[in-house]
Amino acid sequence: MSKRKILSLFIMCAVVAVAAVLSVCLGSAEVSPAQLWEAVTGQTENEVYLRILKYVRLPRTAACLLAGAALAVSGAITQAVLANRLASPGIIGVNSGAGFAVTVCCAAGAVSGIATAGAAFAGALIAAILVASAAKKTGSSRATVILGGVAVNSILNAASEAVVTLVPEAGAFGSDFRVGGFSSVSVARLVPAAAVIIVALAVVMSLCNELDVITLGEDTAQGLGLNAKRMRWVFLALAALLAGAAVSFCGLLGFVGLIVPHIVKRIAGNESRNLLPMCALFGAAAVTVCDLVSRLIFAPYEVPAGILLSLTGGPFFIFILLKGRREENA
Amino acid sequence: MLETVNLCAGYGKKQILHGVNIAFEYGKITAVTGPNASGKSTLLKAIMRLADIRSGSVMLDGKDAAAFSLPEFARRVSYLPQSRNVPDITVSRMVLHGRFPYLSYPRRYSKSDLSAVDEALEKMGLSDVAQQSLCNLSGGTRQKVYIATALVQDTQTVIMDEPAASLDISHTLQLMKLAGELAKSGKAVVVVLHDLPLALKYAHKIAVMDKGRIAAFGTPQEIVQSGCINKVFSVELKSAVCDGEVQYFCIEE
Repeated sequence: MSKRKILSLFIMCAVVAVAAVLSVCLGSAEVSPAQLWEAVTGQTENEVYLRILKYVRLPRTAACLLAGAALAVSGAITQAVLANRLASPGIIGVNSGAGFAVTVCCAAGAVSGIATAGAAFAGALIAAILVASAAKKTGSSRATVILGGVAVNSILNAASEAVVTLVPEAGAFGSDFRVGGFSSVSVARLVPAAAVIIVALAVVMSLCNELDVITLGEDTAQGLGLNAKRMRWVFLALAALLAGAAVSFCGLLGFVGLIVPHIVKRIAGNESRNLLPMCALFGAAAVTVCDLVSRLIFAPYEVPAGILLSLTGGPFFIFILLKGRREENA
Repeated sequence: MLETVNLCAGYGKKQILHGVNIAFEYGKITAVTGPNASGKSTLLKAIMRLADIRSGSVMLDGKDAAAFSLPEFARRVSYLPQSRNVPDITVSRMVLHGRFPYLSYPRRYSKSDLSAVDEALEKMGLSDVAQQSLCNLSGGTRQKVYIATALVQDTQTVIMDEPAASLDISHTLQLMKLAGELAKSGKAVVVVLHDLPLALKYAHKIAVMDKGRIAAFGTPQEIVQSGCINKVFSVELKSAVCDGEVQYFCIEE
């Protein structure tokens, strides 16, 4: 790894740490870093601070970090495996699949963390398989994969709305779930998903070389001794696992899986061993900062972080595309 | 030795190869030629398990190739496919992927892998562009990078599907010289070539394919004498002596 890339990694680690500390300290009730330290080391008996930290700020910050890392890495994997820079879990229907499954799960009365995490993964995987199989069967172009994903997205979102209309209890998470947000995160909901995300991230990081070889194309990968067909499904399952686990507690958070890999590729390049860790860090920092701003901007009211991500991410993505185009033409 | 025995293969419902028997010997360049859609690339793909084998088998050193795991096979046979993705990675990283079949836990490339890459880059005259992105290179230079990747794989059999496709004449001659060196070092070199005079000049053995079958297989001399080229390609093969060497060229029938 070059010195520049090592430095970028250190800077990103520092940014994530600062964002996490700010996320824990700032909010409608402010906690200073000194009070935070006292609470963490058990030097304070102030119950209010302890409760705020234990039941609100720490789970919420952990949720932001995990969701950001999971969605960004899931996006990077999807883009590599489908050889399409417009692919992301939000665009090809993976998030909607997870959202639909969680809605059905809630409608059936299964609202525990394990049930929603399991349902989210299953829904995400089924959506990913649907889009990838349709693409393979029809020998679709890269654009068609995206269009297929848009169709799957549309069907699943409509199905989710239909379930909520028929069983209003299924929409218990409210608009926060549909646009993505962290106001309803609870430890019980977070823990199973966090375990899945941590294990999936570790597996993905250990398969960086395989992911790089897949991007060379199926024939070349096979010539290098990699069963590209099988590994493509393994990576799609991992991407679905990551996105599904994140969706199970933060809802349909858009744009992270699309824009983070784009930004990070400009800093870290396309090699997975550099790209994936940086995506995880950048995604974690971006979502944490967005959630923090969404909490503070209209305090004491909150806007779901997903709205802020879409409002800032959308224009920023257009800017990146235009900049890239100008550079290509230069 | 890599060989196919009564190999029938294709894609989905479509059968393309019909009972192909051919052996690629160590220490020799075997050129596979034939008109478009005659099954040349499918033959190579069937060997690499990229096409569906209906019947028959691929044998490597007397053993059924299917008995080898993919990484084991990739340590013995390297393959340069006809069409490839062009990832936005550096030349040296691309060539390093050639060491992928040798990668073991903890999944990190060793110093010997990196020095093998440096050697291959130097051999192919790519040291100056080692840190450039593959996307920024010309088609010819990119082709040299893929050949360097196959070299780094360090296999006893090297299979190349139309490696001269985007090379100019100077680079094509360099490629054939390199193929000669590989054969001299004891490797079996299998190369799909559309350029018949080139195949006749550099290959030790030539397989002419037609409609999914081997129409003729032998030394260049035997192929010329068989008249098979004229029949399969509907051309007239002519020869002329130039600087004491027999040169072949084709004219319309």
